[in-house]
Amino acid sequence: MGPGFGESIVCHIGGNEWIIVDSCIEPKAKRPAPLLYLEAIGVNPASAVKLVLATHWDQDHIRGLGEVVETCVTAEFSCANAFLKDEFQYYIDEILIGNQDRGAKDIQQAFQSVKKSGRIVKRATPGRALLRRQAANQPSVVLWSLSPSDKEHDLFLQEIADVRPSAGEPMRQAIARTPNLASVVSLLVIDDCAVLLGADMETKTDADRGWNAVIDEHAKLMLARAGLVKIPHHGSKGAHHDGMWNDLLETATFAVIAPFGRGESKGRPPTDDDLQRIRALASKLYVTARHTTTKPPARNPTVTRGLREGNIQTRSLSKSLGLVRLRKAAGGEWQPELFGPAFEVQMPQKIGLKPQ
Amino acid sequence: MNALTHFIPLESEYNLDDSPFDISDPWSKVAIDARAATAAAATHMHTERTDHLVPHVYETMYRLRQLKSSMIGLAPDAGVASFNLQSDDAVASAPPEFLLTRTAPPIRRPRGNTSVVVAEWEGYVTRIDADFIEARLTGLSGQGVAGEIEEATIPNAEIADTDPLLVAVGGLFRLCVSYEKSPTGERRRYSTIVFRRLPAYRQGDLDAAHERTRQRLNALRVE
Amino acid sequence: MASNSPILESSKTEVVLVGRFAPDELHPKKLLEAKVLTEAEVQRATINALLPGQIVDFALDWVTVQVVAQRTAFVSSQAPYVRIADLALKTVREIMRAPAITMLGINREFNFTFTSTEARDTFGSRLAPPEAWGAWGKSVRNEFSNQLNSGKHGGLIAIQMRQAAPDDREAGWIDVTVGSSSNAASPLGVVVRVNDHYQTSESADPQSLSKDGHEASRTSRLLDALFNSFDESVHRSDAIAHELVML
Repeated sequence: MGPGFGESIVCHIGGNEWIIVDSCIEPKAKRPAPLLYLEAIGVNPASAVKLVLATHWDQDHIRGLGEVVETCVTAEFSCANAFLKDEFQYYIDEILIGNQDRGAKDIQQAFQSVKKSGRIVKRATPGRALLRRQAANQPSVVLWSLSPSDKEHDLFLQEIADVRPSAGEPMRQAIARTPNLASVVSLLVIDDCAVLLGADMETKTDADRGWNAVIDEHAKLMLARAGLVKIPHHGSKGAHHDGMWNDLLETATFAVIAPFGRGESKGRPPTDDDLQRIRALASKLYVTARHTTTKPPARNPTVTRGLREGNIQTRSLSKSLGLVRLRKAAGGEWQPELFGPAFEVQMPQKIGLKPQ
Repeated sequence: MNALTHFIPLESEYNLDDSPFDISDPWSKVAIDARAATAAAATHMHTERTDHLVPHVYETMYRLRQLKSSMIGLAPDAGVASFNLQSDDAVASAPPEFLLTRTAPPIRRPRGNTSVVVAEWEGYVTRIDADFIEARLTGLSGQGVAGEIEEATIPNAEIADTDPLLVAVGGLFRLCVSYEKSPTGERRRYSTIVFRRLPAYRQGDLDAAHERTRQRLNALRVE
Repeated sequence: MASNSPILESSKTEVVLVGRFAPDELHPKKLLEAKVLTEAEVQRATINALLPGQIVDFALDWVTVQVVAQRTAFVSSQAPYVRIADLALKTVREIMRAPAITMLGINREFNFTFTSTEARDTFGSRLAPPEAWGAWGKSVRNEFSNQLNSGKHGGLIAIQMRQAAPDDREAGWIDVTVGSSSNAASPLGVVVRVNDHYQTSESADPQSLSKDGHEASRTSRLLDALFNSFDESVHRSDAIAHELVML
């Protein structure tokens, strides 16, 4: 699901057990979208969710994470190994001195919650099974972590070391420079069905990084190919890797994109070109929301004119959460359902700007 | 000048006609050792405490400002206006001077104008470009503003006066839209962007944060 | 907006710290050395009063700073007001060597002008009905038909309300005072002052600290209150003042 900025994935692994991957805020209710969804379909997150995975530290993937972890009291928590290192943990507490940075607060709250409840935190390292279930009368389930590589782990920690505050520096907001470095790509295998969750993994030329490293890991483990993929990094060109399509995915693959709704509208991923590229490779392509420019609520005309006279342009964030739901019976096909502004990409199609 | 000679009796009304200074001379500087003056006053009043004289010093300052105004008025084009106030010059090798300051008028907000804020946002910089910055805004006050989260593109010209060290990715600022009213009743609308000069991180606070981290890490069950 | 609603003419915000200070530490040149102020700001500063060891009083474009031994005040009538909180925090934390703060005030003053004598009288009568003052009060009410400048038009001069021990602090209060404007050019003017006062409570003192340690702890807690509560205090004061005059 995605409101145009932010994404979250909830996976039912059978037996009314669930996994949550990342979190975002539902714009109208201002609560974590995965919790709202589960509650809406009559699932009690406190007992049903078995694992919460935070794929990386970026605002659009962790908003509301603290509340999710706190609510899902029987769930283990998993994140990249780098998040559990002293450097990152110190950084989170340092940046929160005198600052209400929401992203850092969410991460801190998640760890505090896990610590308080004595739950286990699982390091997401390449080749690790974050969750494994083999039970009679239940589908067998494994959630494999395929990244980040050792090199990316080290680079991420180096970057954190570079931005950690020192005494004498003025307080500031935490901004992750290259947050996708520590992205956790995962493969969910339920019986003979596999789903590739691409997080925000990008493509690098280095064999030890990016999708090159993920593909190697997948090959080492001799894992199944996925028939459904959450496209990495909002469908951007920088995250495209032919090897992902050729080596990790089935020939006929369903694909889902959660767009990135921040920044100047021109160039926000996925662009029209991104959609066409991906649509040509997938058998079906769905997007959780369109790029929109939502009108702000009614304001005092002095405000609007004052901003205009200062040449300051403002853009309100999308107020709608889109949801792409795909269900599959054993041996069957993926059945899509679309909610809110989610839509299917036909060939050819422009995502375009569409005021709401 | 001997401070005692020119001691201004703090307990009595100050009379310009009795001033020891030649007020017809625009280049004359008003020089008083205020510390010596209050000490002398204290002696005169048989007390060593000076803090109760603080209000009298304000009164003295007021009188001195009147004197200064009259001096400047006598020679408006004489370039008299450069006085600097330097309290740490009140030490003794040269006669200590207690000078008055010329006020530089504010550029955008003439005295007498009052401003009312109509909307305010807190923002932080997400990207810096050659001609503009991009920022994330959280609305703090104002109809249709409070509670809203927005993005903004702000031309660099609007933040030209800001200390460049503050304009960094992650830098926090406030954006206000206000109107001001001149003493004659004219209203003028304007927007203001002010980068915050937040307190610096202190080692003690960082150490306390590290202690919290250690406690958390020690208690986490990690596999 | 109803036609009887007053117009907000101006507002002012101040951060007041009570305790022990060394005024010389806040000389503008010291603030420049510590990079709390820029050179341009210091050059444009107006020094209102400077008495070594006793007083520092200067004004920049956007703030007036007044420091004496027991009190430091940062006053501004220009938004964004958070600047004065930032300045107070920065100067206390980074420049003052051994400050001791025992009380904090985040105070706001609003100057409203009513559009008519009747509207102003209605407002005053709502806050303090003359009839509640007995026959004498009724006689005051009877004179309301006189012009304001006739010398015969009496009424409410000032009224104050306190919220004791708000939950968001160790100790303190919120006082709101409403009174006639002292600006002779504004006979229909009304001033609303909000004093949002913070103090520490002994029960919150960490145990086993020395006297100096307690002093430092209380100072630190009040500074934290300033940092964490300033925006909320300003908005609350805005809401109180506007609701008061608009009801």
